Amino acid sequence: MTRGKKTAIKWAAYTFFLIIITALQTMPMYSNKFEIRGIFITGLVVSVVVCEDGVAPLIYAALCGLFWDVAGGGLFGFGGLVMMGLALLLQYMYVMLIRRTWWSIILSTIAVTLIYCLVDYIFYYLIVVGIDSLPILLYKILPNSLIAGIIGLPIYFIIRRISRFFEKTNGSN
Amino acid sequence: MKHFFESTKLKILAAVSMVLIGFMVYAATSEEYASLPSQIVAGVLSPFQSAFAAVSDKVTDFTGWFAQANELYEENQQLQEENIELQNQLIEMEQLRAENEQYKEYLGIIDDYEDITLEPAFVIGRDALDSYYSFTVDKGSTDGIELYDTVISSSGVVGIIVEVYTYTSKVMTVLDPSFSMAVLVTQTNDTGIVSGNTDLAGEGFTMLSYLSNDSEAEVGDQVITSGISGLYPADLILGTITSIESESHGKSLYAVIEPAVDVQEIKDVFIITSFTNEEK
Repeated sequence: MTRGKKTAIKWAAYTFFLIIITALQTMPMYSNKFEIRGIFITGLVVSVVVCEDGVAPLIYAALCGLFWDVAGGGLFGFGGLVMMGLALLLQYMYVMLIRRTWWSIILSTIAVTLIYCLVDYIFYYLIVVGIDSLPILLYKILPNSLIAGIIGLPIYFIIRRISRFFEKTNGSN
Repeated sequence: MKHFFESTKLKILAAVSMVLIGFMVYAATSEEYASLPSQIVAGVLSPFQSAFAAVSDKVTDFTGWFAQANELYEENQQLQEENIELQNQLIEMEQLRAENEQYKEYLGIIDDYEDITLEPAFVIGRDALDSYYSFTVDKGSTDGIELYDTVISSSGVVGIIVEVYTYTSKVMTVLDPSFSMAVLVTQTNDTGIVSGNTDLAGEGFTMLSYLSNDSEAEVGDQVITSGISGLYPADLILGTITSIESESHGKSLYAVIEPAVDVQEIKDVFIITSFTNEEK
């Protein structure tokens, strides 16, 4: 199998994983009154940006944002743009400033989730509703961001495994 | 950094950004149900959402059976008592109905009951961050769903359709501030508009605004759709008044409404695809 073909399969695997993750994130949890639900997509974006080089993870981040737009009912394209911008920032920071450790993955996922949700909050709640929407920030966005950091770690391990598998097979080719 | 600004990477990112901005403009200005790119993403996602929702449903049913056994027993007892009471009421209602039919015949009143067409749907997705509990259902334009179709359950109004994809649709619930429906209080015939409120949504309540100051509506009164706009059918139960307060400007009253349906927990709904007197 050629290197290009393997790369295509790898990105197809990542995209399939994105579909699964999005379906999981939007899965209705009946008989659940808790405000805290899992956010998986940001963990996936961080993991792919950390494990892959070049422009492809940034386009993938945009795709993740588009999926979230459809699943969450936001303006289609807005989430993609925000997610791509965050991925670019994250990629730059991991090249220049941050070492890749478990903690950095968790904290990066929390930061990305928080920033993404804050942008969403500003446009869909703060501007429309005003300061009365503060409980949404305190009781929904902040705890969800923390949980997203924890969820991000197993996602990172899966993505790292996929990435290394294709690196190895590329090497042996 | 200088190298970055001259790189192909920047050119690709700029191109992708332009495409995304294009998507946004298209989505914001499109008069269709949903833009084509979002239809494609929704189409890819919907079979997986349906599968995960089915799994979630089975797991909840299984765990709920153990967790709620005692609660279900008590509920069963209560329902049995209610059943006997309802049977008595039914007999009484049948007598009244027959009496009513007789009067109608005498007076020659034309029966204009609304003929409603329902499409059953299943909740397959919920957004983790939506504070108003909007959700996705497994029916779309191929099933005859259209924008602003009313979504109900056996208990009452759930919300309206706000996005229609090929195989799925997005439902805005009665808790959403963007939701707006003309209603009347059954006991007093007072009219008003039901719309969500951010503060109340967290507690699962919604708000009835523009009640006149001399309204005689009381706590416990039932609120139903008036159907005055022609967009939504009349006589659908929306909820019950839990409190009545004066608006800050003092020119009207508002009532806090407990919706007839628990939108946070709902899993099966019906979409009203057509009804008599509909204006579209």
